[in-house]
Amino acid sequence: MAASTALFIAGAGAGSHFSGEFQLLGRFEPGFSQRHGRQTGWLWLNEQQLPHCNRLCQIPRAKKLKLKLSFALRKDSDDNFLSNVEDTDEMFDDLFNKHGKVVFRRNDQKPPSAEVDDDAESLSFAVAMAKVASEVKAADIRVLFVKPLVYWTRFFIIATAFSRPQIDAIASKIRDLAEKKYGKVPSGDTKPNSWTLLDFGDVVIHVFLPQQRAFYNLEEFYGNATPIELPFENQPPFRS
Amino acid sequence: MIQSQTHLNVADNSGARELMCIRIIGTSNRRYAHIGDVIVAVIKEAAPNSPLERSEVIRAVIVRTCKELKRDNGMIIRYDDNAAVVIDQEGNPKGTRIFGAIARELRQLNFTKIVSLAPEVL
Repeated sequence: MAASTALFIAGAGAGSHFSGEFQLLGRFEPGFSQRHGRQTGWLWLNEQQLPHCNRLCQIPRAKKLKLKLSFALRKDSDDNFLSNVEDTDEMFDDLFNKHGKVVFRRNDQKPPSAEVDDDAESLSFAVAMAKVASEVKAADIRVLFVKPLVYWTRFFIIATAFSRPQIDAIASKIRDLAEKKYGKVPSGDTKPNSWTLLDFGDVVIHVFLPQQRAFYNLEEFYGNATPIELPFENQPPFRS
Repeated sequence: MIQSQTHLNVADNSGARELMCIRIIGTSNRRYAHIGDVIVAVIKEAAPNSPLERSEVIRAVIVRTCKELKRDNGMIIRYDDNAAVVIDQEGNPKGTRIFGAIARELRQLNFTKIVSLAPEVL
């Protein structure tokens, strides 16, 4: 009997908190109870008491007697359940206070303020690069803050150019300015390509031909990234 | 450890399903290719109605290998399968999306395009 009570408490606890989970349990239990004849009454009552359960169970009169008993037991068990939870929380707090120091952090991690500074620095660099691209008539320039999505970079700049010479002009101008003003040398494509990529580490610049831009559709893939407002006039996506 | 005659899965939506390596690009007499190497491969199996067909010869970048990849910090990465991404002569991927986890070594090897299309980078 002790074992069945334990099961009952677990079921009630789960049911009152997560109704979906309970229904799953509820489906399981009748099958289980057939094997253990004595538990049938308990489990069926349990299902009826719960507000989220849609099942209609007919309880034989003989078993109504057990209803009150199980109510009482259920209340107790609920209290027990809750108090157990508090106990475990306190227990975990104690454990954390005792052994928290064992879990140590890596020393090379930067404080949040330094992270914010780095972000701001990368942002200013990204906006400067986007401005250069806009000066060379790149269209539909988007700057995306992708740091929350991928760990390996902070900003994406996506731009469209309409011919390979224009891609070459954009890429070389960006390279020149980055090297002169910021001292950064990009890796990535050296020749103009239908998808030219310049990788500055924290900022990755993609320059597409219109066809490739639609084909790879990077904006959709990084749809959850935060777009950054640009301080200059953006060219429309297509020439009229 | 990819050598010629090795069959590889395709980790993108280019339409190819299975490749067979026929040559490792870059050196004249190299035995094995690893993650980030470009190979010449033949398509052994392709999805129906796709631009790529069976028995077509293409270039591909290896992105996953069963052979362990060791990093300087002691980390070892081993995948369940050998997989490659189909690229064209310019190095652009033929597919638009990459499937599965790939290693960050690809970025150092100038395959940032593949990395930026991948859902997970280890």
